[in-house]
Amino acid sequence: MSMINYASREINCKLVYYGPGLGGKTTNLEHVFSKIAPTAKGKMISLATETERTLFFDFLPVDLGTIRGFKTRFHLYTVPGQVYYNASRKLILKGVDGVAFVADSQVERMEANIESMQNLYTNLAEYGYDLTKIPFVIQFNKRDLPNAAPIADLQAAINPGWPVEDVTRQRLMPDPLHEGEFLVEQADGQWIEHAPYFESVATSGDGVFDTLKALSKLVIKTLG
Amino acid sequence: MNVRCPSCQTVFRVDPTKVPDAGVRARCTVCEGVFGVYPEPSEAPVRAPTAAPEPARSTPEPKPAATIPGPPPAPAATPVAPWPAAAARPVIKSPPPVAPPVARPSVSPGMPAGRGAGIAPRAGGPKALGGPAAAPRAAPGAAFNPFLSHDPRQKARRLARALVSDLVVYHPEKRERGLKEGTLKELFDEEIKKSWDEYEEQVGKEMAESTTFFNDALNEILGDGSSVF
Repeated sequence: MSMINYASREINCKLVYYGPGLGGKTTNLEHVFSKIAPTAKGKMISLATETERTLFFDFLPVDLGTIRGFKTRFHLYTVPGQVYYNASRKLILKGVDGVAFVADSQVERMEANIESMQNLYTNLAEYGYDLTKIPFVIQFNKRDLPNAAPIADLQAAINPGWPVEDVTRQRLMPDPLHEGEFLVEQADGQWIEHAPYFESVATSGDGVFDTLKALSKLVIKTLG
Repeated sequence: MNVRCPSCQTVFRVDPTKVPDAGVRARCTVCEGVFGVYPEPSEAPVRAPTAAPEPARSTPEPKPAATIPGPPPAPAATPVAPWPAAAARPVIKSPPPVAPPVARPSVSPGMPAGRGAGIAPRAGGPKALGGPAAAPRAAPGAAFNPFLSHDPRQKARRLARALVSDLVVYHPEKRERGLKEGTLKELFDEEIKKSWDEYEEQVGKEMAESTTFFNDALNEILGDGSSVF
């Protein structure tokens, strides 16, 4: 949850990049780090193994300007993607304000994506958070690879959506980023909401800021 | 006055003179849930998520800190902040909406029974953050969203495959060598053990030992279809 420091007039929000191992979470943060002005960012901290794989987390503070006199700072975290580092992953989720799920588009990693998504739902639920109610976006990374699965397959497997209970929101909502697609739609008489998704090539930076911007906007919305 | 935490039902004693008319937010020291405490007779009302916190968040006035509820008996509720805002407490959490008054579901690791839980009663606005989830019932979305349903066998099988898939992507050269020299078992001995431990912890000993999911995944994914394991 966001930390509001009234004394120093600062709002701190925690964004977590989640997803399967080697999917590009750290690469996302590195790209953000490389593009942000030095005055607007803190030091990027990475705890990695000798093979440069995230062992515990990466951390990058980013300033996003001022909201009603309050300086807004986003703390970007990644988690270790490897399945067996679940304890660290869960720890990092504590107090999260928004989640970006970085999926690996490669067909071979489909099961790892699904497992990681399941793990995200589970770990959040254990903290009493509900993924369907917190700011959440999905990034399909590695779109440049020849073995990248079609978006429709990834969407069906990773972003099946959740029921919309609020009747005022039970209406067709077009996805502003993807023509002909909908964020809220009806299927078998049930209103379903999907997380917004983005295509990316984190190594070149494509889609990285789109994802971050969308997520930070959603988080700021929750601040009222 | 007595105040009941809406999420874990723990009752705390709070000095009524310390509760301002506008109410105060308190953090439960048992479950860490944040809830509103209001003067009697509307004692510890359960607020709909996002109902009250919103205005407080949008207009953060640095008001002087109102008095906070006195030290309650153990287990004590730690006051978080007076209802609109507090200057005296340097760091306070933003008000997460208070969840409906249901006990927090106990979810065992790897058994995501409470996953779709929070879906059930959506009392407030969208994007409610935090707050304990509601009791685990049949999640309405489970039919089309597999992440909201729960099939332990399917979960075990997928977890096994994901663990082994990790071994392949994290150690491509070692695997190549192992396949070529027929030494996969020895080369990956440590990683396989680590993965198995995690697998067993998540799916439970019985499921792990009574099924061949893990071994199948090793043979199929790491062993490239051969039966080395």
